[in-house]
Amino acid sequence: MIQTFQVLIDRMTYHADANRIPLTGSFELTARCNLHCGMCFICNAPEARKSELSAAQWLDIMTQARDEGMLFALLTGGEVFVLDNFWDIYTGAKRLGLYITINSNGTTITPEIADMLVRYPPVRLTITIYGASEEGYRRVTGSGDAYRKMLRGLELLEERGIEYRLRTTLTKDTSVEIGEITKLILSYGQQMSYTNYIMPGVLDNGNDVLSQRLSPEEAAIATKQIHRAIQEYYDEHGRPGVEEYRRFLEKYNADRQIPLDPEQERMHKISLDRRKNTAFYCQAGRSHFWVSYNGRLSICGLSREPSVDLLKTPFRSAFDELGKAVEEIPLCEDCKSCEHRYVCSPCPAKLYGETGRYDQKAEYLCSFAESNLMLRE
Amino acid sequence: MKIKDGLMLREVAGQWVVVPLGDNVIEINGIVTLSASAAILWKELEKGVDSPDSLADVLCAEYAIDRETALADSGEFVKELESKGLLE
Repeated sequence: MIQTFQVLIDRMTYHADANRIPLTGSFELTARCNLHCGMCFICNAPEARKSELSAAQWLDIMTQARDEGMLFALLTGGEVFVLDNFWDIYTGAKRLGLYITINSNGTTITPEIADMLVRYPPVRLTITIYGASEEGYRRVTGSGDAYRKMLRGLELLEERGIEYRLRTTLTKDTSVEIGEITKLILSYGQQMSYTNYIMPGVLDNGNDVLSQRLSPEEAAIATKQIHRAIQEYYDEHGRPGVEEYRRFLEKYNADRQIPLDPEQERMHKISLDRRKNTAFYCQAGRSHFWVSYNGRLSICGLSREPSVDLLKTPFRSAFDELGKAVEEIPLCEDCKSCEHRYVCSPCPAKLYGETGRYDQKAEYLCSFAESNLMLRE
Repeated sequence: MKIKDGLMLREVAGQWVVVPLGDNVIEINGIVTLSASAAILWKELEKGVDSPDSLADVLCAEYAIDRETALADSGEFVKELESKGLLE
């Protein structure tokens, strides 16, 4: 039976959560990048390059994780295609029996890389774009030529029928032409997708990351610009993919109607009960994990501590150790009782990044939530 | 009859899933999952079998079902695999 991806992942997640199976892993293969974006919290930090793992080290970690139940792996960076050993890592990971997603900025995609992606297709390729013009790219990434390279990368993917998803990051620099970026994404037949949270810096890479962060009011203005651009685009070009989306929804809803069997129900209940009593409502540290460029296991990309060194500790022991640490992370009582929590989705990792504590609310996030609410009204 | 090279059957988080290993031309829009009984048949097909009859034998040995049902089920399974291009 072929199930829709999301329905299957949901069901597997209940089981994985209840049994502490590391179902999905994110692997930050490198902190190196060919771009120099001002909001990036990690790229090109001098210390990062010295700590990069070899292909053999990555595959050893992935093999251990696979043996413990990992099925889905994200390969990210930095920019993964700058790595000389990327294809060794990627093809090796595929032979382990993993569903693999790749993140890229698209500017590094050459005909040779595109041909390899045809031969070894990822289950998803996500391209983050940073502007809709040379000027926009120069503003964000430091390179106006990167705009042309990004377009060429997409062209190469299109020529070969390689599926990909586009998204962007909302920052002070990208917001200058966010309407144009929106329309550019839509022009490729995609839905607008963006990240709007810039976390405080992780490594010392010379960036004043927070200077690129939009205030809640600025983010609200940018969001309205996005909505306006979407409407303008559809007014001009019509709304594509309605029929395809309708068919997807039919299949998705049909799959959701397949009842959980008793064991799945039991796992679902265990999973829900766990989440009620811990600070993390997501799967971080339960069925999801993150491995940083230097081989340290943590619960997600936003939360670099607690962490365990996988070069010194077997994966299973490290994952268990991390799981125990996660359960001890205190809940923010203010967030738990906040009327805006469903708009804010308070994440302990974000709270820690903003305040230095897991159990202290963050004014920036509170303001963001209020701003989001006003946007909806 | 044999499962094509480049496919791996894995049991993960309570599900039997078929994962393409790359460098193959099998296009699956979604993820192929198998029931427990289908997974048993898949493992036989990985080794190669002469006919659906052999698969029926396996089902009868594993489950308390009559041969006619086993033949029908295994025949249907093989047809589904063939329709998705998963058999050599």
